[in-house]
Amino acid sequence: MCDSCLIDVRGLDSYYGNRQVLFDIRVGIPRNRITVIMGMSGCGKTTLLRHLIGLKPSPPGQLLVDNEDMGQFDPARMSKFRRRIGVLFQSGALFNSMTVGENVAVPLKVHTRLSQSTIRIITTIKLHQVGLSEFIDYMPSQLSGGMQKRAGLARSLVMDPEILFVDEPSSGLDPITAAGLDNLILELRDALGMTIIVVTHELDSAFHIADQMIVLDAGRLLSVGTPQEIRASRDERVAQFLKRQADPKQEDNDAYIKRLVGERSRKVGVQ
Amino acid sequence: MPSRTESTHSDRILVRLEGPIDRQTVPNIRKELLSSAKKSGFSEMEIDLSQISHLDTAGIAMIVEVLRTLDRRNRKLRLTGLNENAVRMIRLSRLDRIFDMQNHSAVGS
Repeated sequence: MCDSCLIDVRGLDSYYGNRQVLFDIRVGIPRNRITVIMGMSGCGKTTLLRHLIGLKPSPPGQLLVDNEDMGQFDPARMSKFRRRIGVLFQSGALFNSMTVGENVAVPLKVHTRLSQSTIRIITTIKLHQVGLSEFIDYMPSQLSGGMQKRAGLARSLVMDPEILFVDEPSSGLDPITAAGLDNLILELRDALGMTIIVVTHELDSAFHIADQMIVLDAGRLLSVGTPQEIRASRDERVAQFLKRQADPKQEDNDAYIKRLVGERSRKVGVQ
Repeated sequence: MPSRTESTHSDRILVRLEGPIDRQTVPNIRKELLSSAKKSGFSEMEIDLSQISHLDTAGIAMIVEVLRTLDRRNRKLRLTGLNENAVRMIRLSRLDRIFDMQNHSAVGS
């Protein structure tokens, strides 16, 4: 029970076919705060995110938004919820046939009656916020991966969302750009009181921005708390997670093998 | 519903905006505001924001359009009655360098 929370997850179970990937997750997402969801690859972080944004349906009673059951939202109510949120997916998900500016402007063109001129200024403002205003007329293919991600962030902010969901903001970014994105996320919370949910496995970034941390392990909730509480946790599994994350050499054998296999199959694909 | 009142004082036009100034209301307010900015016989426009309930990026963009229209005619724009929300939005939009932000008012020229 979490009356003051924007989102209340009450015993969420999730499946892909017959395979259960989330087990009885119970956690609240507080308003106007940054919540970071962490865990090793494959622990269910992104699945939880998909439930929170309504992309994966939640069983009735297991996920509440503003004390309303998301599992019972009809399409109109879901669409109302979606207008309050901005989402940045891991890939950035830009349309390759449109310029950066056209990409950022898509939600405004679809959902508002604003003039072309106003839309152009809003687009410039948002690209300026992420440091890309000079690239408004470029095509996505002319941008680096990190720049594409920032353009994706500009698009997710273009409707001034009340809630922002970000999947792996730092992946594929150089440290300076990643730190810039972290600072922008903090600024959005401080200036607009935005509720922000970030999925990441970057520990430095997580501890820098989080008000609340959620640590998942193999689909189960391992720990919830402030960064200080997580650092001070006496739970051996949390300590192990932090150590393993800080030291890539101790990465799971499973993940290592999976990566090797992945690299091998990509090489084969190229040949 | 947002509303707009306008009065002229010697060579200054005062526009007072009320209610939410956001992507829902901007399409209606913008045309009138831009046509006021194009009128003759004044050198400064003041937009009083003290009675607005909300300002989003669309509202900021509309103000930038007004500023541009005035600037082409060598006129000044003065924003007054900026509440905390408005100041934060202008800062977050990185436009505080365009407007001289002082004492809850901002001048752009």
